[in-house]
Amino acid sequence: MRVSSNQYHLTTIRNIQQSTAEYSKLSTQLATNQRIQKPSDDPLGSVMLLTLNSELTKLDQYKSNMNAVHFNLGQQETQLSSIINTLYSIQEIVTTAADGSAGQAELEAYSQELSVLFPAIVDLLNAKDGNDNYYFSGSLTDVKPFERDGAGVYQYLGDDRVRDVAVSDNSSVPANITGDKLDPGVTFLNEMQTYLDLIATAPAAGVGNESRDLLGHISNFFASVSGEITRIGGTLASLDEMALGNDDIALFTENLRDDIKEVDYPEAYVQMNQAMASYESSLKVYSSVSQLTLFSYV
Amino acid sequence: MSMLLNGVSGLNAANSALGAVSQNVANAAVKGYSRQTVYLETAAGGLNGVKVTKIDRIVNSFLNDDIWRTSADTGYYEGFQNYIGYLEQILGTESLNLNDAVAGIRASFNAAMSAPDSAAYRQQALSSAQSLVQDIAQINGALSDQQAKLGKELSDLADNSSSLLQQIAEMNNKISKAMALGQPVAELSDARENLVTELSGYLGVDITDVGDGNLNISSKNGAPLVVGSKAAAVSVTGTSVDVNFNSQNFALNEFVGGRIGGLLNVDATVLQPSKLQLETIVSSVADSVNTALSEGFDLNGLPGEPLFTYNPADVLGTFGVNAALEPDDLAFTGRVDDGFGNWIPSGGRGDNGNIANLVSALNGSMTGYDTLIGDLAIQSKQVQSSVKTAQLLKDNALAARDSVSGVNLDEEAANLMFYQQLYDANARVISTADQLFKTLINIF
Repeated sequence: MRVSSNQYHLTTIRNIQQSTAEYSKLSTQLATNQRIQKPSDDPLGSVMLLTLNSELTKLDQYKSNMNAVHFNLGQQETQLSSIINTLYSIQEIVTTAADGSAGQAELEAYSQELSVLFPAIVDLLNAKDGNDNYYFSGSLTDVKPFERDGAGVYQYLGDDRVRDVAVSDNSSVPANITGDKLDPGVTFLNEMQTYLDLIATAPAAGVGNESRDLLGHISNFFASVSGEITRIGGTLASLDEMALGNDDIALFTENLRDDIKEVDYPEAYVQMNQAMASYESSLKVYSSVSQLTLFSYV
Repeated sequence: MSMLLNGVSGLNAANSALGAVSQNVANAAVKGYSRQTVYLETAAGGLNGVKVTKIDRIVNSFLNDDIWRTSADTGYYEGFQNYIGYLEQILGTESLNLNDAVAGIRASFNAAMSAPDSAAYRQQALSSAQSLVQDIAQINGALSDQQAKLGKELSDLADNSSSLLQQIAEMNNKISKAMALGQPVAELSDARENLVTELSGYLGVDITDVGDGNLNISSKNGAPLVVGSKAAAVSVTGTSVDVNFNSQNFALNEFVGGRIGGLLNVDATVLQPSKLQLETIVSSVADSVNTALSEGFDLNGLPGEPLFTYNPADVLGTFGVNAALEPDDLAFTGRVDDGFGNWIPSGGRGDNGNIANLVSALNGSMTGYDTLIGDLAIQSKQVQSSVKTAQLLKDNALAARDSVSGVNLDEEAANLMFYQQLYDANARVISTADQLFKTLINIF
């Protein structure tokens, strides 16, 4: 084929431009560690990347949800454990009082001790979190759950709504304990109050029968509170399990994302050297061939 | 006498040939220059020397047709790629990933589950909604800029095309006159071919060589652009391109080829549909969140207000967060029937019954976005390879033309030597004739 001189120059320049473009593309990849500079570099990969990022955001959020639930339930568990401890002391006193032989002075002493311990239990049931919200009033977080009405009777003023918090795409865990489960019918508080009122008068007949009655209510209350503690324990244990699974999935997703997104350094480096070599040889060929002309010999 | 005259004719021929060689060498680097050659013929009559019949360029008009066709294709795909490339770049930007923005909103709803009455979580939900709004505003700005730029470029192209058509018509006039007078037209023809090459990058053309020196040009959809020495004017209104010839209007559509065709086509098949699709995605996200909110109650026990606002006539341009909405007004509380067919809050401040609905309203709302990006990426990749192919074909066409019409300096150097020798030989013939004459004269 006949080749015009101008054509030869243009071809060489185009070759040099192509090698430079390839070289610059690869060096950008290496510098940014991003294999995909724009979606069309890898349409499939970039669509996957679009969703993987939001998948990771979601997993991250589930993780912080778990942490939040863990913290909340832990706080509630602490309150409930304190109730149990106080309840032991009350139980001890009431058990002693059940022995009808106690005299007036002793009853007064019991009364004094109980009148300190019982309000502590009421306070624990009416405990608030750091945001000034009541733990045990269900969804009515701004309502004090256990209060005495005009007639002096304890009422539960909260509701039975449990906050379910999502910890994965299709599972959620309860994040709060409601007061109606802790003292069903507010029986314990009212019975205890009646007992306190009675023992404060230090009746000469003693409080033997009443004490034995009360012990039954105490053990019911004990059972319901410790039942809720067990439930919290179960939830926390399952949260730990789920957190492990969540972390595994997140790690896998992250690896997948990096695999798609990041540069395969050895491969890119070799390709860059190839582009460099072809660039250099274009230059060499051009400089030597462009010196060849018949005019030099005329 | 004939020997002397033959020698002179040979000298003339060598001179003309050397002139052509020098012209070729001088123009070796001129784009679109066609090398010229001297056509020699034995003069009529017995031993009458040599005659220069014509000096003309060496061209093959089929090769020119190839260049014009491939230029139009290259212009078309390059124009298309410019805009689709920018669009995919914008939409593919990691910081503008709408999936991330929506995931952020979903996460903020999710976070509020454990403490729906907390002002911090509610504020977070509003802020993350705001960041989606900002992303959309940025994308909308970029899209509008692109469409404005496209309109501007189209009108520039139309102006350039009009002026090229005018110049070609003038060339037609000059060439046909020169041909009628038997004057050389090589330079004029080269210049006209360059103009047509430039024009064909702007829009696809059909060329008819009428034979009297005029090139008639029409667009791919048949609109007359140049007839003889008359040229059409190309004009743009918005994104529609019209050709006006002799006060008759012809519309150019996306099938006209060239850069104009590429721009019209990328606007009709990529920019506008992508904008429409984004509008659908954004309005459906807004609608589903707003609907979910309307099915709940806020911290004050009032039915939920919408979080997003937009005007259906310009979704992307007016998309925003409801300015009247306070953190307390987010309807996170669920609802129940009060037994009389009325909805009432399902619980107090700590009730999170509606959040699950909000989260599920956002789930799967962005599949259209993934499809949009994927389609753009694949389309852009195809166009990129079409650009490469078109460029390659154009290069080949140029190479084919150059291999016939281009100047090869080695060849010219050889010609230079050859015609120099021709000159020398003829000069020798003349001096020999002179000596013979002197010999004859000296006899007397």
